[in-house]
Amino acid sequence: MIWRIPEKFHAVDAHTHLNMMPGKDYSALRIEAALAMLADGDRLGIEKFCISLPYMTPKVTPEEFRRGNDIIFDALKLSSRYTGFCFIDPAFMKESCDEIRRCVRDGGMAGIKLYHQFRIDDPVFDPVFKLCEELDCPVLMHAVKGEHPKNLSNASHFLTACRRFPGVRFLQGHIGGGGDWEWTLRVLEKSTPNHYIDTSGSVIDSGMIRRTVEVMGSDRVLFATDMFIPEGVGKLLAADFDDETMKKVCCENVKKLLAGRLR
Amino acid sequence: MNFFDINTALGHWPFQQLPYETVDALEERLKKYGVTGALAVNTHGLFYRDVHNANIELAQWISGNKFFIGCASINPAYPQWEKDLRICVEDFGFRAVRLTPLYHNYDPDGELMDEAVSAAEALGIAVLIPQRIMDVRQRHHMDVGNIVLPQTVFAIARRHPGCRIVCTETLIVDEDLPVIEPLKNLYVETSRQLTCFTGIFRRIVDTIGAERVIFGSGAPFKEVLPSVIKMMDTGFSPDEFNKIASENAAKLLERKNVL
Repeated sequence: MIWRIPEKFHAVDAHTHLNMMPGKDYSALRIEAALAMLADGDRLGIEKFCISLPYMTPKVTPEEFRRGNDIIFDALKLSSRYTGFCFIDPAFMKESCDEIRRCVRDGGMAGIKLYHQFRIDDPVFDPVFKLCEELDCPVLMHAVKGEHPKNLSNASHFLTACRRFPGVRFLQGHIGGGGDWEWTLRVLEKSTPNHYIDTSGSVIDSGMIRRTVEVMGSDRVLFATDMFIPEGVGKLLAADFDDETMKKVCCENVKKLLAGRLR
Repeated sequence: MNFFDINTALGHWPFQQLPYETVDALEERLKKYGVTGALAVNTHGLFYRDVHNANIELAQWISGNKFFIGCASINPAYPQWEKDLRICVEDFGFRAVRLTPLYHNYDPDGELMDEAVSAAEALGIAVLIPQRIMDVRQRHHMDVGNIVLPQTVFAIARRHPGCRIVCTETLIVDEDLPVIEPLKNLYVETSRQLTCFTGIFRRIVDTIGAERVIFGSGAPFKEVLPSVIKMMDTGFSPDEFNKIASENAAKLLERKNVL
């Protein structure tokens, strides 16, 4: 029985976080936890991790999101196995765009991470997405089919954003993030080539990952854990994919999404 | 590697198509990951008005099968439930009972719950109380929207020290550890415990002892392999591993002190 991802797949966790479990900490990088995550990866077959530190409050000041992104920069200094995503809140548009330039254009982060301060199809994001297109960097956003909070994005909202910005690559967070994933997959039957989804989240329902690849195809599904590492590895391996699909889901798709920005 | 899984179910879930719903299919799936036996309840029978028909069905399904042991479904708010439970144990050979108060519309912390637990104790069988059947975040609108609070189950265990109570599908957090440590009749099922850099799974075992932690997967609702990985990856000693993986379940499913 295989219970770790074989090295030959060079697995990258496309969506996870530091300093968020147990409890959130925006004061300084938890170095011990960051090293522990790398050790978890060593044991379970994950070579690299894409990390971010989002805030979950309704409004996030520039001082706050800069502080969170600085913690990510500290993690990037700690290990080249980490690739960073920059978190912003477009309620502060000028500062958000400046922060994307600081983190992605100048700082070597790979993309931006959004939470539910606004829905992904909200026009407030237009300047942000235009900048992402200009910088050729992807957008990762928390997404669930659920009712709360009111600005929570679901697959349907992603369809709209993907169609409005065909030159931007969108990564819909966690098919297993809670919420009706079967509804999500029915919506994704209409997804566009710039629409990706990751496998992360605490939900480990039987057959969920295999069905996700059946709907999306093997080119737009990315392995991820969102901090649930054994759950993420277990449900991926339980899908019993062939080697070609595993290579794509574990590594090739995230490389394509990040367009050369994976460290 | 030799697992006994105390958290499986056979049958259909009305709100979501499940793979491995039948005896043969689920047995094959579990065996693939080193599971050599399992305790099973009737999945869809949960919704029968007269839930004992679920037990009769389950007994028929697993008759002659050496892999599955039956777990009774009982609704103490329905007539003749004591008789039904006795039939499950003495005629069908079931070795535990699952109580689901939110699906059967009685108070998880009330008299009917206490009566059901007392009846299980008198028959010498363990009681499984799931915090949830389905993740409420993804429930169908007609499904139950609440969970049984862990603190409620802890209180039941405190009131019934002679009955072995298993928290299944229950996420244990650090704040729970000093509460459950002295409840020697309370057991924790593994499927939702967190490992890796949170480390709570290890701390549960360190706090209450490997003797009170029991392997479960939640199949076929959930994949089996994540629960297996947590066992393989938590750094248990061989003695701890064997207890959690199978030995504790074997003891739990023995009838004890039958009144």
